[in-house]
Amino acid sequence: MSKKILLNSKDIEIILHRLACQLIENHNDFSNTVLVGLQPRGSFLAKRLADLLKNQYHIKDLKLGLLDITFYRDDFRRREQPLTATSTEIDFIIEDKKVVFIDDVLFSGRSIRAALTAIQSYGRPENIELLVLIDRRFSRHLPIQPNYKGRQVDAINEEKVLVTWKETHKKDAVYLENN
Amino acid sequence: MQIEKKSNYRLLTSNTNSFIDFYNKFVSIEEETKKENIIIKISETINTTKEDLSLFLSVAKSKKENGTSFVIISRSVNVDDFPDTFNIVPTIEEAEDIIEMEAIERELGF
Amino acid sequence: MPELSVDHLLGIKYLNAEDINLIFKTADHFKEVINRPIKKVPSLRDITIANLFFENSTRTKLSFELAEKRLSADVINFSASQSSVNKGETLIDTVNNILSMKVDIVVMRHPNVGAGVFLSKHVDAKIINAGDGTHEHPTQALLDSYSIREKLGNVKGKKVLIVGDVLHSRVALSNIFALQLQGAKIKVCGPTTLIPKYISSLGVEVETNLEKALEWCDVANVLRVQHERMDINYFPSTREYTQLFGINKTILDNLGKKIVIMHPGPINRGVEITSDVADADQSIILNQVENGVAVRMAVIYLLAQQIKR
Repeated sequence: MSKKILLNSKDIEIILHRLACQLIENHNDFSNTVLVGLQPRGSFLAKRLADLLKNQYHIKDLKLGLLDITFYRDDFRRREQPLTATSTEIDFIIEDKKVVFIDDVLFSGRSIRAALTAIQSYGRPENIELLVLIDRRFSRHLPIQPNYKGRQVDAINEEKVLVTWKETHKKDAVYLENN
Repeated sequence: MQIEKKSNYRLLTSNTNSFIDFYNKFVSIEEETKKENIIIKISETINTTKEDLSLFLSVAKSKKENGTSFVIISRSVNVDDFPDTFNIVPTIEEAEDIIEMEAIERELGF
Repeated sequence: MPELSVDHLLGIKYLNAEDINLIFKTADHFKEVINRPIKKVPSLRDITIANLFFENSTRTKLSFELAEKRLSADVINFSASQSSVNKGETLIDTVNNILSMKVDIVVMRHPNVGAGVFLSKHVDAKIINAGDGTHEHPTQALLDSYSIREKLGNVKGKKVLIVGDVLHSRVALSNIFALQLQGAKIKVCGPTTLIPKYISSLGVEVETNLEKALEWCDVANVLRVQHERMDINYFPSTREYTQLFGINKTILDNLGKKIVIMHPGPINRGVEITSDVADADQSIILNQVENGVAVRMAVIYLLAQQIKR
């Protein structure tokens, strides 16, 4: 198993700033927008972006939620291992609001499909956009594309893209792992 | 009376036309079958009445107390005329179910 | 271990502490689901569940039905009245008819002890025991413990008192098993004729004085006086029961501390507890009802997960 660094902490920092600016370009003061991190891995990225937007770009009253999609997955009873859910924390209304889904890696698109169904349980958003740190370009199973992407990666199927955050690992990094 | 030994009960089938004969034959073997589950099948040709079957009430009670099951297969009486604890069923399959259910009850400590 | 150690939910006696923990963690997620604007998840939309209630029940049946529908399962209901079913007489037949309609899970309440065990040996479906005679009522015990955990943080080390007709109560027995698995301390209080003789072999102490029992406990789970289960009078009158074992606000206020009040319902107001106790803030009776749906969703979800396509 070999591990290659795709992005180091400095690369990631720059990308996060760029993504934050792109979001501000489209959403201004976020008065009509909410950010939703997809659990479990999208939540780190979502919190980082939210912190940046609040502290460095002075967005006031930014609404951030976390969405668990376990009960909306299309592979229930089809896997070897049972599923374990994580928590959902959405304590605001999304009706008529713009929603930005935030996830670390976009791969087959099935998680996003599940998130699109899940979010309907909270109301009808005005529109939904997708922000991902890594877009694995040619591995989609569904017609789903990101609106904002950190870096595009063309990895072949056996390779895994691993994202680590300094909150849980030593540093921010994105690795390409070959089995 | 025909006596057949099955895996977890004894099946007693009447082959006379008289209920009383059957009952008396049963009483004569009651002691030796005390520790076994018993299913009694009374032929359709005997017109059994409520009073006839009531003769078995005390047998049913003492078997329940000593931890064995007692079931009667009969279609000619009204089940509601007897107490809930007295087992009367229309088919052999249901009688076997009761033997099994009572065994589970006893296993669970009831 | 994110999977139950059992194939059916027949009784708390077959579960271990990890199972209970898993059910509670899963129920936490479903509690969030039932508080959303749209209270449904699609997970069980290809699962069919049959509710077989051979004994009367409104609350438990509704609670299960709601849980099943919130999981998007297809639900069919059968209520057989007692007179048309004599013990196990038509049980297998009824269930086989249902199974031929491709039912995956059967939720059953039956007057016979062990009916669920019996069924699980004969039919090819997941069985959930919604109450079998005077034996167990596992989902009630689970929601009771879940409610204690919600109110007090956890169940371990808590002193739980069960008050009332313990002899005829499957709620009491299941609760005793569940509370012991989670490390709680248990006492029972009620008329001596309504306390089973084997209670001490279960590791449960008896306290016949209500005030002393309430002073000792952190939580009091008050059982219903069940007229329909008693063939003979186990105590002289309802009024005498209330005088000796009924809980009213005065008794509660005179204790040195605030205890938590629970009741599986339906409440005989003025008999085992008064209305002002049922409606006090230390009562978590309504939370029990809400938690019942979440806990049942968790159990059904975890069992459904084991059903291969």
